[in-house]
Amino acid sequence: MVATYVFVELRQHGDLVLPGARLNLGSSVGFVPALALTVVAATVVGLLAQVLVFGPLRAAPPLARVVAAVELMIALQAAVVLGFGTGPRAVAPILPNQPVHVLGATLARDRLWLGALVVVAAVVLGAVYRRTTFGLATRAASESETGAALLGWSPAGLAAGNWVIAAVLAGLAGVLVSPVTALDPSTYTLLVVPALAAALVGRLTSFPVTVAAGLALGMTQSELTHLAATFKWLPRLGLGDALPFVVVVVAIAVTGSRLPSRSAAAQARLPAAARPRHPTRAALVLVPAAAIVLALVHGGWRVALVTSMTGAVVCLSLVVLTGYVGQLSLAQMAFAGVAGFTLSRLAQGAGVPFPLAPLVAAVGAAALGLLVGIPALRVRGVNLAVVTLAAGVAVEALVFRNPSYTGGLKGSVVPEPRLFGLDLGIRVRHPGQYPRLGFALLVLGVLVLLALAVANLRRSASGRRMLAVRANERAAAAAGVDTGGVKLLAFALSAFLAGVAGTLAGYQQGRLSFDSFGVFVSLGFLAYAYLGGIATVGGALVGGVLVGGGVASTALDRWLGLGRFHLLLSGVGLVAVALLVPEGIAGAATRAVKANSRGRARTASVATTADAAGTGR
Amino acid sequence: MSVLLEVRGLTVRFGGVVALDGVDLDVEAGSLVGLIGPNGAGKTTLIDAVCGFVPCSGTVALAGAPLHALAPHERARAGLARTFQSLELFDDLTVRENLLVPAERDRWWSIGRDLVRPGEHDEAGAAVDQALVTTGLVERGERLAIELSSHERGLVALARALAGRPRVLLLDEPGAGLDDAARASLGERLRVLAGTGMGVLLVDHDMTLVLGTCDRVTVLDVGRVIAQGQPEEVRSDPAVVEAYLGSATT
Ligand SMILES: Nc1ncnc2c1ncn2[C@@H]1O[C@H](COP(=O)(O)OP(=O)(O)OP(=O)(O)O)[C@@H](O)[C@H]1O
Ligand SMILES: [Mg+2]
Repeated sequence: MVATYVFVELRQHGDLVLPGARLNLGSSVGFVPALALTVVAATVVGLLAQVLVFGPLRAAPPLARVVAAVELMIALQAAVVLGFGTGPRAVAPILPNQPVHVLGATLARDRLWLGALVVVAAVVLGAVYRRTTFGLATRAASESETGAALLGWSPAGLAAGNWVIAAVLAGLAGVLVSPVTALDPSTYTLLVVPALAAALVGRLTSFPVTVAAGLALGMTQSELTHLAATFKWLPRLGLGDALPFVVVVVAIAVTGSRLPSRSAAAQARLPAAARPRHPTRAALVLVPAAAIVLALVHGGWRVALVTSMTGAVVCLSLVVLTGYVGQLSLAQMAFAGVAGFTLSRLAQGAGVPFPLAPLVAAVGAAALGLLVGIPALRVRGVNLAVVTLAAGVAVEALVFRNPSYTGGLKGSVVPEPRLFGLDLGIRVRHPGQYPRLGFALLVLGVLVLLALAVANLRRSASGRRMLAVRANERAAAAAGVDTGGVKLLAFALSAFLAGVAGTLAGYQQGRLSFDSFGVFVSLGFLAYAYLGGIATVGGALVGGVLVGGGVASTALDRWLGLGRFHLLLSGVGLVAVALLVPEGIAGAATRAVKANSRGRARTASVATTADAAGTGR
Repeated sequence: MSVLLEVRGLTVRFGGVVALDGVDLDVEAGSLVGLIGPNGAGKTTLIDAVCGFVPCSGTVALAGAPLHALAPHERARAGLARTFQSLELFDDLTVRENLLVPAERDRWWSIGRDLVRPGEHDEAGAAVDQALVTTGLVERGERLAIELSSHERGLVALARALAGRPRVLLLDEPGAGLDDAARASLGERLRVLAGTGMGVLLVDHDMTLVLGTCDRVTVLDVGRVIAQGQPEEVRSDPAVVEAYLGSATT
């Protein structure tokens, strides 16, 4: 995408865009030099990705690498938005596009060219990876890095080479399709979903299968758009976007297995899920403090706190699923959104009263979570991330973008919550006091209940089973743990928590629109949760502070005037955290405090030190 | 003695490789049965197949009840416990938590209770305490599994198998990496366990340990049973000497 923008800028304005600067090379650069510079740009981005992010993360758990990839995507997207704006760009045709007639159908010629180029690329790539030493070494390294290293190949160098190839290919593809699709940051980023779907069908190893799957997927997508226009009973929008999900699920059902095989490589550990020792005591201190702060601040800051508390609930949902069970989900916001819109229908449409309506809505989200969790029984790690990403896109396309469910541009109204005549809504009758304290306290109460429940879970039998699945699925099964059941339970619970957050967001906004629950929002939350600490309740609370519109971003905006850079900064921060403190900010803070007190204890007496070491975990 | 674990005609194929070929094996209540064989003989594969980790043909029955329709976790709950050659501990849990996982029963209402009132329930705590005592790990209960020495990690693997109160225990090379004294005491522990009425299947490379402590011994080679019987019979069996002892005791 970055490459495409570089190309388009060169062609349209003659500007070579560098980080923080623009070089004007005349009014419009010719096609060939522009393409050459684009390849250079893609090479640089690919190299930087390997050298700065993935090289250092080579030994990190797959979760960290997925999060880093997501973050890199978000950061690049944020950079593109900052540099080029969000509006779609029309791009002049690159390939000849006169109509041709094939078997009685009329086609633009450039589509055929594209198809042919892709096949050629696949053949060339296949030959490169099969015949050249570089290709053989790469395949050797993907089997065993140590083995390749022993033979004198640097795994890092190989990875860098492959990153460059991938980045250049993706850049060229972006340039070539830019006249066909509209060029805008979010469409381009989401092109990765069908691409990943096709790659999964090719089991991430076969070029021909991947290309065939990709072409078939693309053709079916356009055919579906056509069918949806013909047959009235089909949803008018979104079928095409939902298709990758179906493809991925079928591919998995055919190839996946319920338990990893004996030879499955041992994975690096996830961030430790420390056992909270006194959650109730912590709550007794923190809750009154938080209530006082909420009462003291007004206006924007109180909104920021409320947003952070809702965000913390989303992060809690990730703690259960990713932190405890080790399953990745990039679809959390789909769960939240389903609950939010269900709430609107129940409360506004059917008049279901307050505590019942959001509960039912969250249970509905849990049901969706169960559904999305089913593929998780047969895939793990990175592939699961792809499945859930595709699921999130499918829900967004089929449900959220469907005006008859979500009210289109007008959005869906969520009435104010009231309980026993008590007004718990956020809006006020007199302007100037927004947001009302009652609503802020309601959100605080919900957050505390859920946080305590998640902390309890960690200390309970169900939580131990979850961590056992995370640590080692085969051993868990041998110990009598129903690994599939545990995963489904975690998906349902996590979706329930995300659903609660969705209903809170609904009450906060009063009128829900679909873009609050887009896939990118989900990606962002995964990053915040990981930054805060993915495996602990404390981490979720820190994650809540970090979310967009929350306390940290408000402070950034008001004190430093850097609000625009929040997304970019969180991307950079994430890579740093993934590298330096895998337990996240909360975990690092706890460790620092403990090291400090242990140090003091050591000066006091040796006996206390031994005690602190014994209990201080 | 009643037969607890009954294996008949067990056959496992990995693509073209026949890893097990029609193996018959019995483990009686209160007995310690040895299973030996050179590398790649199919010993681990036999444990995997009995526990439901690899698809197989043939029959496996636990106390007369056929197991073939059960998933691995259901077989475990039915009373089949195993250890892994590479231990496969839950590294980021404490030793005690490692043992609680098999000891605690999973009921449909567990989750509701656990969200509100966590902690140890049922008789799980007692089973864990007993397993810790049996393996001499009482002092280590609150340490993370990953922090222990490899000797202690082996004991944790054994303790975790015991904590589920199994009827049959399948041990995959529990003596690997131990010194002679530790191996001898492991042998005594296993004899004591068998004495409580449990059926124990011991897979190991160490001839002294297996032939010295087991009641009966089965010898596998390339997926087939080549000898079966009392330790002293097996020791002098020409096929065994040819396939295994000849190379292993040089
Ligand atoms: N998942 C698998 N796929 C293909 N072949 C396998 C698989 N697992 C085991 N094998 C093969 O099955 C045969 C038996 O292996 P197994 O691990 O059971 O032997 P073993 O007796 O436990 O050996 P060791 O003493 O080395 O532990 C070997 O030839 C092995 O290569
Ligand atoms: Mg083995």
